[in-house]
Amino acid sequence: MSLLLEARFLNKRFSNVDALDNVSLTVNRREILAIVGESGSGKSTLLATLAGLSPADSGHVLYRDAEGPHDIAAMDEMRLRRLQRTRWGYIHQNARAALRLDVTAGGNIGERLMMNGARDYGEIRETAARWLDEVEIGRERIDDLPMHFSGGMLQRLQIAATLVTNPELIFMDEPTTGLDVSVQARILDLIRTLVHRLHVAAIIVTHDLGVARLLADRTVVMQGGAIVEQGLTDQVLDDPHHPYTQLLVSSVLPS
Amino acid sequence: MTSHQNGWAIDASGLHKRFVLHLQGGLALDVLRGASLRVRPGECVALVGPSGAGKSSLMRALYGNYRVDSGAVRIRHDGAMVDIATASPGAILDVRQRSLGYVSQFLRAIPRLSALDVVAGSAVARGMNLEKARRHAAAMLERLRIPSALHALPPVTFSGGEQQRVNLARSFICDWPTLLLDEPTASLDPVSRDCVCTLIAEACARGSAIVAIVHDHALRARIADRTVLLERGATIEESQP
Repeated sequence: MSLLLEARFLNKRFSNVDALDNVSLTVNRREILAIVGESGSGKSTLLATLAGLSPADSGHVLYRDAEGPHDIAAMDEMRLRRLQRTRWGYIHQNARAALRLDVTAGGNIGERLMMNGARDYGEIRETAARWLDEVEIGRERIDDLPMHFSGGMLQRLQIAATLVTNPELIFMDEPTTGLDVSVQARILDLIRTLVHRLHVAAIIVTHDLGVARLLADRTVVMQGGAIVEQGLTDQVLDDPHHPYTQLLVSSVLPS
Repeated sequence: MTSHQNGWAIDASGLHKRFVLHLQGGLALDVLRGASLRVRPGECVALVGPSGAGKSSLMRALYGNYRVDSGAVRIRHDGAMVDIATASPGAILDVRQRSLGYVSQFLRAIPRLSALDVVAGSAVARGMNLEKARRHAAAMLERLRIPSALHALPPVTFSGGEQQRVNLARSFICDWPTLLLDEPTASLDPVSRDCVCTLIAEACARGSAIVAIVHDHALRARIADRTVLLERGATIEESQP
């Protein structure tokens, strides 16, 4: 297990609320980490900070590659952008906002390939077609506009458009929230299968403990901008120590 | 003590575990009070004791699912002993991946995955290629009397007994150096129960250390080399089955 991303003592305030309160964590290669907590606990702020989309007031996010650790706040903007679109991926809760609805499904996938230097039209189209099969949209929809897709299909298209460049780390912000329960199961299963097969590390923000249970090796629990408990997912969910974690676990309806 | 050929597979001692229920005004429950357990490779130990004595808690502590307050849970892994109570999360996952299996009472359903792939998946996770793992999975499911017509279906739709057999197949498809079984035959018919007894005996013959929670006296006599009694969170007596 080698270290991929590390956060050290992140702090951030919005007006007079602690959005991040001295948060430190690590993510190893090939590991899936869940960040759980209810709305307002700071988990989405943490994800955006880890992904370099929103700077912290203090503290560091260190990304490690073959050359060693890089403080992402100290990277020049070009370099951070290149990292974000080549080695990293970000899957938003709202696929509609993340995709280009007036560009074909194949175009949405191909665009990210082209940003990474792909130029051969035939190859790009074939890769896009393969990924449409992979996420169970089907290659026959390659020239369709996503504006006509269902919510579940849009989310699957976003997953394809993110994983197509074979990133080593993906950030996921409530990827199944707002979708029908039947669609959620399909997408979670898809994420689980692809993440394991591609050996990608993932940080997934969710308020749904079932999602953490299904996907994550480790789980951190956030309340009021601070991490109140962390451990292996089954430890945190079956043997919660902190009062807030006990409240979250006891609030889940039995399935 | 270090481990060698004749060492322990499990060497757990002085285990204490207290649950503090913050939502119940800080109510404290001492579920383990000095429990200890040692098991050799090739040995099957049955845990017995009244309901609430701490049998499942001890098993979960051995697996690292419950975090003990004190004591050591040393599990043989790659020829050395790893203390689950103090190991890093990554080290615990590595032990669980290759050395320590656990069959809970209920199958945790994975949406959409077929019974065949649920079972094959555990062999794939330990390095077998998918095709071979599927063949082994099919054979193991047949052995546990899950007819091939059901192999392609997700186990979510199965009966309780069928789900338990899928759960068992998922563990017995691998050769675990140490295997923990929480009431492995609770909802099984007599024929399936016989089959599980045979699987346990075969695993022990291959050198697996097995700990099983088994209530049925006759069954215990069939599978266990030794019985350990728990009462109020402590191991108080060891005897022949």
